[in-house]
Amino acid sequence: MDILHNLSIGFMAAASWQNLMYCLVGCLLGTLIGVLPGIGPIATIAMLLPATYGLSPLGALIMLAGIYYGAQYGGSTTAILVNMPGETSSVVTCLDGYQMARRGRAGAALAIAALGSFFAGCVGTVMVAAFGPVLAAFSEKFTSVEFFSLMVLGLLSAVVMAGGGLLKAVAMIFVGLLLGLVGTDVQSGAARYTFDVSELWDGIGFLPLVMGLFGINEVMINLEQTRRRELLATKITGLWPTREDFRQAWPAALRGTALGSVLGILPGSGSVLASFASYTLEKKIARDPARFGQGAIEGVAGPESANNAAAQTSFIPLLTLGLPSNVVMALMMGAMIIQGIAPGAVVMDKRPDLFWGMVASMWIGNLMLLVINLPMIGVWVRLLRIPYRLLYPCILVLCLIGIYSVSGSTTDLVLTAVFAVLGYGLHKLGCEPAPLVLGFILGPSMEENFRRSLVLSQGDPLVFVQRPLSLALLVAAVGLLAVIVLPQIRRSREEAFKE
Amino acid sequence: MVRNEQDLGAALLFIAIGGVGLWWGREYDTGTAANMGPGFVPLALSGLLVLMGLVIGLRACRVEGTSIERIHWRPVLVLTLAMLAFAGLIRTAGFAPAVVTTVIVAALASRESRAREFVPMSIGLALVCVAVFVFALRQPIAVFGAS
Repeated sequence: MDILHNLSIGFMAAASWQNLMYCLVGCLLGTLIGVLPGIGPIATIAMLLPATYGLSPLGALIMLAGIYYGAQYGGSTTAILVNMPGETSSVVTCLDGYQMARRGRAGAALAIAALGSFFAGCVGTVMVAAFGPVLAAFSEKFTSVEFFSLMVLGLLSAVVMAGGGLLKAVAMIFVGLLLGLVGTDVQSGAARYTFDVSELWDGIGFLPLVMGLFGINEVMINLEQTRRRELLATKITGLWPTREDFRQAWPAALRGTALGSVLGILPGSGSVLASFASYTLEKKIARDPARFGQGAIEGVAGPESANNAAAQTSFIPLLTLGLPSNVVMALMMGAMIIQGIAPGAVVMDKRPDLFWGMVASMWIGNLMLLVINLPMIGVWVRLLRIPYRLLYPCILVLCLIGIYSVSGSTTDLVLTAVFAVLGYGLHKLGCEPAPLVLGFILGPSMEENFRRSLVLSQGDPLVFVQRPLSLALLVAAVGLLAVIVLPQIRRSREEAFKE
Repeated sequence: MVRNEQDLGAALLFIAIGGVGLWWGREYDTGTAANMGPGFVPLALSGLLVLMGLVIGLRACRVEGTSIERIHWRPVLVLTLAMLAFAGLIRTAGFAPAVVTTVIVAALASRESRAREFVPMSIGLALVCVAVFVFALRQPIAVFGAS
């Protein structure tokens, strides 16, 4: 069995004491920051990125994966306990999770969410192990022409899930691509858009961009809202779900996992779609749909499993094709690039320990989350009580120290401020920052593949439609666009965002 | 007639960014399609961005849409000031003064902040940060004074 052999390589690499420590620290930090009120998973990961910089590549990836799961779990915790979704994918968890919490059943809801996530995480890991090599083998036939078309498809499908107008989202991709090109051109050595600032010769730093657009921007937006957070007054009694809960929850978790695993592979924001789809499915097949929104446990188990399964399988396009399907994956990709790893099929070939080690650590991370979180729910609840006015200055300072400790450059600090203000402006103009970040991260390699393709074809742009694989990818991209523009689907998409 | 403030604002922003790209890159070498210079892709992108901005802007004048919500200047300006203070102080005054100043300035962004809370907190946070970053993680940052 190839998979077993590969997974054993992975577990050997991941199960060293050091790496287990990184995984544990990542999970803990991720949950710790993720559970703080007003900090979503994306901001959490952005804030904690600097912590991984000094580590070995595998250690850094393992810690990042841990941070990611921790942040996601922290997001569900705030969704259940304070009715505050950290990100769109846990909006659904709020519906029934918070209702359960109001009836004093927060413990059961959190436990079911953790157990469902763990189960989904296990299945997702197996999916990554099984399908990763297949896709990687497929991509070996790719030349720069196909890679360019693939990135076009990837960017466009990411736009599908962005809120706001389609045109604006596409324009945001362009802005991101343009920002990604700042710095020295690799092929000619010419400086582009450096505005005579020598620190920009290496391009705009990834950290200032994401910290500004997500971390600090989020603080600015949160400070606008004087809305009081409803903190749960009821005490959490009985952590363990009853047998009845289990009986109702496990089929939902199973369905959610299946749904999430499939939707996660698709480029575009899989986990949001997955959790919405799972909730709708559960409501539809339930014997008594009226229970939903009143604290139905299936409404927690299904979406949480779907969300986590999708989070897991969304690693597949990143690790095999080098294509980040959402912002979180873009953050992962940025971290890998900083570690000197260009994600893609090459990694799997040349550094199997890295790829399989990360896959193995995903599973270990999910297990750790389960082990550390169930007993620590009490601590997380206490963290939730920290008032925001005390929290946000600390967040700001930690972001700034993180950036400075990585680059030692005050220019990066100023850039962070610039991106924070830009992010605030974009928020007011109804533009999602996600497509910008995806464009930014893909910009350099997209340009390179584009230029290389045209060198190969001697300047003939038709090369992108003459090669069958590339044509297929572009047709898929156009088809996707057509699908969004069609009125009926557009309407249901808007409904999904309204909820 | 503006019917969609948000989109019009976005359109202007896109046109501005594309415009800067075109203007600043006007002397970049575009090369030929078969052998592109460093300017080809950036200029093409900037041009497309201006074009998209125009389309979005025109649509904003015709199709009804969302108006821009009230902008809260206080958090934006104060937090920006706090970040710039950190950037200015970390090399000149040192790590500890930079943290204390940043926390105090940042705290002013919220009306709910109380001096008896955030002043001690700024000092406490500075102590923790110095312990963690300078002593434990051995970051090459001077606690006080220029580095």
